[in-house]
Amino acid sequence: MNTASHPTRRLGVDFSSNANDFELEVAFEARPSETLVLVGPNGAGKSTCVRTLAGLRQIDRGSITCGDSVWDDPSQNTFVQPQDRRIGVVFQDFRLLPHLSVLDNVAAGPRFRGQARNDARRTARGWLDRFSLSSLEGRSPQQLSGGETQRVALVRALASEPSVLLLDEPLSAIDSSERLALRRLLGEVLAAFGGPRILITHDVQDAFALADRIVVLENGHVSQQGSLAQICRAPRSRYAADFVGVNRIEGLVADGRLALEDDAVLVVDPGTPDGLTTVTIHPRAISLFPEPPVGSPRNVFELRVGSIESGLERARIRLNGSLPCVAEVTKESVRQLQLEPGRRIWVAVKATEVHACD
Amino acid sequence: MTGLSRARTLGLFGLLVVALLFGAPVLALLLRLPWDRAADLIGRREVLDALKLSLWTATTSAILAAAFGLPVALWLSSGRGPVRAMARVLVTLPMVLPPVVGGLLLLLAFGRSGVFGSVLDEWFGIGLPFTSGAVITAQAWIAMPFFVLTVENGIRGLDQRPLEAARTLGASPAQAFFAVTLPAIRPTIATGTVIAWARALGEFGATITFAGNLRGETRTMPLQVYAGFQSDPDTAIVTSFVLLTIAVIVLVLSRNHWLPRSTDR
Amino acid sequence: MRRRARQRPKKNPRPKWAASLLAGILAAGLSSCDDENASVVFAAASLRAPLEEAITAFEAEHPDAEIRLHLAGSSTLALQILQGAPAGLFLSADEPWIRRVQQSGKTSAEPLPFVSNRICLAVQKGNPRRITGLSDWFRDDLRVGLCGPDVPAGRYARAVLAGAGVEPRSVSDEPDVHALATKVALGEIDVALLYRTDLTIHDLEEVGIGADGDVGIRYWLALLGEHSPQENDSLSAFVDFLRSATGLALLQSHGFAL
Repeated sequence: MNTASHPTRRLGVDFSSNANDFELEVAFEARPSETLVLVGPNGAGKSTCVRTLAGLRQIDRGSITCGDSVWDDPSQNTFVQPQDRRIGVVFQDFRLLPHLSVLDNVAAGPRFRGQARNDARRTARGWLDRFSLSSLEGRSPQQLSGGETQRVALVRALASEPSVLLLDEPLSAIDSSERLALRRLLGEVLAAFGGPRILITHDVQDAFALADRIVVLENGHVSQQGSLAQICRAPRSRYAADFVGVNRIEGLVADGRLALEDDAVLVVDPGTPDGLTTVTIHPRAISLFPEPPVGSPRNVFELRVGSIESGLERARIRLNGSLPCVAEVTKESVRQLQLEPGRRIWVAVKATEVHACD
Repeated sequence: MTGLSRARTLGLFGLLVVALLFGAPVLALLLRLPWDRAADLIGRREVLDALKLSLWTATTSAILAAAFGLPVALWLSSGRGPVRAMARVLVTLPMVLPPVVGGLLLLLAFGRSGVFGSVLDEWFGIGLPFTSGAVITAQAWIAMPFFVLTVENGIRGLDQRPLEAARTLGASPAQAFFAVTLPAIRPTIATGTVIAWARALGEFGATITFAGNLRGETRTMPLQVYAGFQSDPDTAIVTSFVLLTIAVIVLVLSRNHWLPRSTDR
Repeated sequence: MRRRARQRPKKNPRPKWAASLLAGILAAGLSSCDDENASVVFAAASLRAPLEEAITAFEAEHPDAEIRLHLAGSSTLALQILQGAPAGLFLSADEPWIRRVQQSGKTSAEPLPFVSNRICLAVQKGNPRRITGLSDWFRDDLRVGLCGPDVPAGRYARAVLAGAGVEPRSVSDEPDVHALATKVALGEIDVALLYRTDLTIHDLEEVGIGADGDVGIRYWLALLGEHSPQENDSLSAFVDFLRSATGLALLQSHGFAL
């Protein structure tokens, strides 16, 4: 598609700030041609982080740098205004300029940067054309659907030739019918953009589809960062585990056995050292049986079905009892096992599937 | 249920009182209007002079109130703090002071022997009192708070998010103001200007104290009503009617053309 | 919407409370207007200083009487009386206005002539503009002021100018003598034609114009309309007091003539 004017700079973020008694302390690095996905529960400080990177609020300590230029560093008394940061932001709450047409919204960036009105409009038409949005150019923002609005917002951000792309939950306010197509478009745009790109989401689908690296933000602090595989293997927090959908169990390991409630034990991967340990079990590594299974598995529990969350082909079964966990099975199995909330079921987990986190 | 019907009765009673309070004066004016002499009285030179003077001074005052009031409103709405609070009190003063007191203060400040007026008089030979300039000064001074408070409230109620979006697209604060804030507050500015105009048109106390009362120069419609009241009440009634008609026409027109319809937003 | 729906069935005690408050305020307002013992005197603004003194002296002699003074230009007062203002006694600065009140049937006794007054040139203390007489009215470096032609003081002043053969120009037709005198005192108007009696109040200086100022200015008084016997008594007594030797001496001390 297109590459922006200075897309090859690295964004260095390491700051803390305090607003209304909320302490935000964030450190990460966003590299060129890398999609960094920032996840976290509501109220973790994600949007504050976006506003900080965009220059809409100042930091108290630390620094934000982009390549060689310092954007914000209180110790150097440096603060680069938002308009000079060249950071393209797509907000979650549709922020097209309400008094301008779609065309003029897209032309706004070039226009603010000094292009004459007609040149800016020509540029904007080019961008709209490239994304097959030319038919919308005369519309006003109030006449657009959510999906159309975010497409225009995305194009508008790109047309301002940013060196960093910052997408704040761009899909969260979109109808599910439009979300799939928009996610695909997002993937294409991100892949084509040569600078650092930061995507904020709380949808694991977005992370699976788009993330090169994940930063988990919880309660104003980075609780974990790494690749999706790393986080799946060893989620450092309950939120991270829930986000990637793995079971995370904490307990005391002695002699290869992890003590659970009700005197139950979970036999873990051989070689797991003794002591307080966190282990993970992938939901698909949990097998369900109507009768006590015979054979090799050493971990067998009788659990109660809590809730069932059906997807397209598979379902996630929340199980309660001595080993609270989530199992993922095919919908065919749900039918065959006659799973329903409250039903007791036998569960088996191979010891080799119980991994200790680092 | 009895509570409801009692509340409704009370509401109806209140409505009646309000209707009487606001409707009766207009009705009385229409009933007392000497229709057979009306055209003749309106056509009098002194009435026409006052009408002409009132229209151009009120319009000038409203434009000045808007031009000077807009930056003030922007500044007041851009934050909080003791300085702004003090400034707001200062700007609101003309609204709460009796206009006659206002006229006296203007005289003390800008009169020929006033604190600043003496400087104007000595250095530039400008004497403001008893001129149309004084009429405009008094009207603008009285009318500006209405503009400032209207627009300040409008700006404070504004959605800040599009403004932030504009900043991330490369807009300087000034560019963002012209691209986002100004279009958004245009209806509020129109409302504020109309209110200021209406207030300027009706200004009496400060005008007669600061600008005096001279036909064609400083005798605006309200002063003409007052002068007429002393000699020929019919003239006063007819002049009041003209003033009322103009006010109604302007308010209706501005409602239809400049102010946002209720369906917007 | 939902909140309103939920609240509706409940009885709301507030309207009753508000209504009684409103009724109380109205009652208080009406009763203060309807003060039975007070007698209201409508008087020309130029009579202010002597009348205030006279009322104090009179009330000291008549402890039951209470007199309220309402001051304005005689024309304003007359029109207010014609519109039904509750005045018991009218002291006008000229005869025509009191006759008009009489013609409308508002008087309860024949109007009587009272004290007289003179017009003079009034200037700021020290006469900074060196005004010597009526001939200075032509000087275009001066701001000259008059009361409006409908105000007695303005009409008399125009008569003075006409008698001296001077064009009656003015930078402003002021609504009453006090407004005009204040502007002279503030230096906004250099010279004005005012009653002699207004000079002391505003600390102005007189420039004599001799007999030109004597244009037959006579104050008139008349008792008005229907009022309670008691009020009538105290107002009649007040009129007698004003016309007594004590009252006239008081008026003379403020520059009025007999």
